[in-house]
Amino acid sequence: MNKIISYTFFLSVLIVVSCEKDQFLGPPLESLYGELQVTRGERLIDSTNFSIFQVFGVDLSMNDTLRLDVQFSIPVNYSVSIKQSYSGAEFVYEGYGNNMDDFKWTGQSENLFFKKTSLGVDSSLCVVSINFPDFDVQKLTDTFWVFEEKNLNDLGLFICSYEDDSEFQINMPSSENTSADILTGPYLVPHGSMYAQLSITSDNTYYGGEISLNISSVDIENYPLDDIYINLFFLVNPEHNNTSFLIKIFEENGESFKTNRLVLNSNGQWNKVNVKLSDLYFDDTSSFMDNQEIDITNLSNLKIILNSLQGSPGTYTFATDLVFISYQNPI
Amino acid sequence: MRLILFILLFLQCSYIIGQESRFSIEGNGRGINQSLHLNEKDSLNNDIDFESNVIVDLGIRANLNEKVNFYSQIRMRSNLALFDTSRSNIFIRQFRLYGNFNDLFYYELGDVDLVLDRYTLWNNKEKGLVNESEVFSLYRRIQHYENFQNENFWRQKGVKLSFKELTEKQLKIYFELFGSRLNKSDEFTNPDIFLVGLKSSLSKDNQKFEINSANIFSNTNTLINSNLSNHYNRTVTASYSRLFGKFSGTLIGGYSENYDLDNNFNVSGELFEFIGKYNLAGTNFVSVSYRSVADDFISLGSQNSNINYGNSPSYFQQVTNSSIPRNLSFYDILTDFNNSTIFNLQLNSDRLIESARLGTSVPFGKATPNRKGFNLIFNYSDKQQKIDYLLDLSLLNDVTGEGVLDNKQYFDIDNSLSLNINKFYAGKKELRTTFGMRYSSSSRASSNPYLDEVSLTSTLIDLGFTYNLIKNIDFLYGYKNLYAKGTDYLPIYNNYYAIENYNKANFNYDESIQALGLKYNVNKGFYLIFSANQVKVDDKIINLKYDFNQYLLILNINF
Repeated sequence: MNKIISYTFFLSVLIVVSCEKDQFLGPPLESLYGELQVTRGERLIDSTNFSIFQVFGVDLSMNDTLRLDVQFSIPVNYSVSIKQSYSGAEFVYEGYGNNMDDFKWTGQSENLFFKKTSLGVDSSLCVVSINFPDFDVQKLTDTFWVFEEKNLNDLGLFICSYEDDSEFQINMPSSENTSADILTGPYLVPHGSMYAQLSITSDNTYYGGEISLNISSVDIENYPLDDIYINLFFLVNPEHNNTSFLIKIFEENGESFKTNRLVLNSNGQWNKVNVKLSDLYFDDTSSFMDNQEIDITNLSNLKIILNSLQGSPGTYTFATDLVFISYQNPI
Repeated sequence: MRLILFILLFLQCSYIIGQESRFSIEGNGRGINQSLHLNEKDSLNNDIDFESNVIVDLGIRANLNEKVNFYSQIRMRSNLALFDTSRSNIFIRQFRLYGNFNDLFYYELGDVDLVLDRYTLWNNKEKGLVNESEVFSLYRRIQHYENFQNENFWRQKGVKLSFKELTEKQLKIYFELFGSRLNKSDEFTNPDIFLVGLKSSLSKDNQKFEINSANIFSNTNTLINSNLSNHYNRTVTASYSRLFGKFSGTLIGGYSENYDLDNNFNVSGELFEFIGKYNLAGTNFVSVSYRSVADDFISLGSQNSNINYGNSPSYFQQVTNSSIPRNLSFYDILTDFNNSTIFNLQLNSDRLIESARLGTSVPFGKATPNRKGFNLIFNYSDKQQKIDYLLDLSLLNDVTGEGVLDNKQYFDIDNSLSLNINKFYAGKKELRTTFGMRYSSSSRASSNPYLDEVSLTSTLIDLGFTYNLIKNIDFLYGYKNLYAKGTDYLPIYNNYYAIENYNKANFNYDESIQALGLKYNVNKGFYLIFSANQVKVDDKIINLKYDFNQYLLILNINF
């Protein structure tokens, strides 16, 4: 009996001696953590799908999609930046992988819009660059043109960009030292070529003038108020800090709604500001009171009012361009 | 109020039942008061936590007749931090029917403790201790009790049948069969998972032959509109032991099969181990073993960790003024008594891995796949019990390289030393000190200049001190420190437990806890502890540095 047990056991051990393999287990480590080499991407931009075939430029009005034809020897964290110094527009994307198949750009920007490239203006070329934060290697760069700007109607509902006098009306308090101008230059504007600039020097800057936009014919889509954004661009120079604005909207029946005063960034650059329609509340000074709820099918006017944060004496000035309504997300 | 009346009524009934000789009552009562204070520098997060609760576990053992017995444990719990009974409850904590069918067959039904061997079905205990101090041991004992961490058993709900016979030729035959449903189908994405195990042994005089088998498999037929396939995992080991005077030898061979027939997947792995042990005087011994476990040896029953290191602690979940979520520390594992997510209570197919901070040599204990090498154990204690020493040393290699052709080398050493100092000078008052140290390293040179070499070390130190101040009152001190530094490429496994990626992990981690306490012993199992505890964690890789203090009052009564 003992022999049977012993033999059975030793036989089973001989059968199951564990084996080594000639190959290693799993994917090769050097394909994941080895040397970073760019194995494809002599030109970063893949121009094969542009509407103007094989030309390194995008027609954003035709929804051209910019893709990057780049491959790496190992999967890496990368950061793509698209910049146009002429307009100040910038777009940043961060990803991870062996290639950049996940990346696509259709004209989105962090703040300002990408503008049409002008012949002879080098700064109007867009520069795309790829950085590798985990590796000490030189960034990859390429350039491309913007043949046509993005069609704003793709983003939402255009209200005004001060290009056409009939779109707006400016009212300033007559008793104060004020100015209200529609200007071109010295700044490059977010949209078109014109912008509005209001200024007041006063002891009482709770009301420093207003831009009134007729929106009675504007057909706002029926989204919840939480999902409707009013997008505007402002520029305030540092010497005019504490400049603020508020938005008022009026219904046909005279009921009005407003925001609190919103302070503006006084960095001397154009900044995008967005206001959710649900942030507006019933205005106690309203000439009429109905149900105290915004009815988007019954709007008559939208007013952008200049004031200062504390209402204290001084000079307060902002330049503003483009009023635009977007849904679900700010532009 | 109703709860109090119910408990009184219940105790009265229990008392009456207890007068009946076929019934016996046993149990444990415990009150815990915890007061935690986060460092004042952390001004952003909630910096005080206070918990206070009392539990009574009442066990009723009923020996109805030879064939039918039962054991039931009822838990009554109340949170004393609230002046209402909304957080008081009562429930059945465990229940088991057991008995003998006849002289040969024994059965258990309900909550059963299941274990086979280290390669087939085995609950790997947490590694953050080497000869732990008494104060931390007391905390850990409570945690193990709370979380059913009984030796290396898995506490499952199921059935166990065993057969035992001694033949006329003095041949002992033992046979055990058990089954459990590890996971209940939710009818949509999670299938039923079953465990069926077998243990059989033949032993006579100085030799023993044993076969163990664990089978874990899913049944996706209970899922509605699911395209999930059934997975099977089978492990079998056979071992033969023989005693030659003071020397004993054990040979273990085994294999595993992991398959999914719907997807034509089938992988098998093997192992073998030889253990030679020489018994010295008393209980002292020295043993040397060699083992080789193939890379594709997959054993869901034994490749696991009993700690869910990915889960959050109960208190101070975010720390520092950057509100960084913190991981489980040693101290949470020791004293987060109300957190039922720290310990892995159920065997499952996730193959939870021991934290790499504790070393990467054997994350699944001996069943860790892809390891081969030697292990030496030496145990010494003198007759007067002045000294107790244990050395456990392992030199292991990868069987097959991971991601590269080169193999990693692993070196582990555990040293445990306990000194009963008062016995050196025949002092009557107990004066005892304990020391434990574990050093674990993994290393692999890199021939590729762009790949970092593997060099990870983990050092764990345990220090303890116990002194009997006056009659029944002990002074306790405990210290524990973990320091991990270096880099390793940790494998990431896919659903078939094959390596699909690596996580390049960098460590520069320092954690220390210490406790100072007084223990008042009324009698064995009836004691009161008051302790002050301090926790410090510094993870330089993620800039996480925090510390907190805790005052702990524990009253424990076994009856």
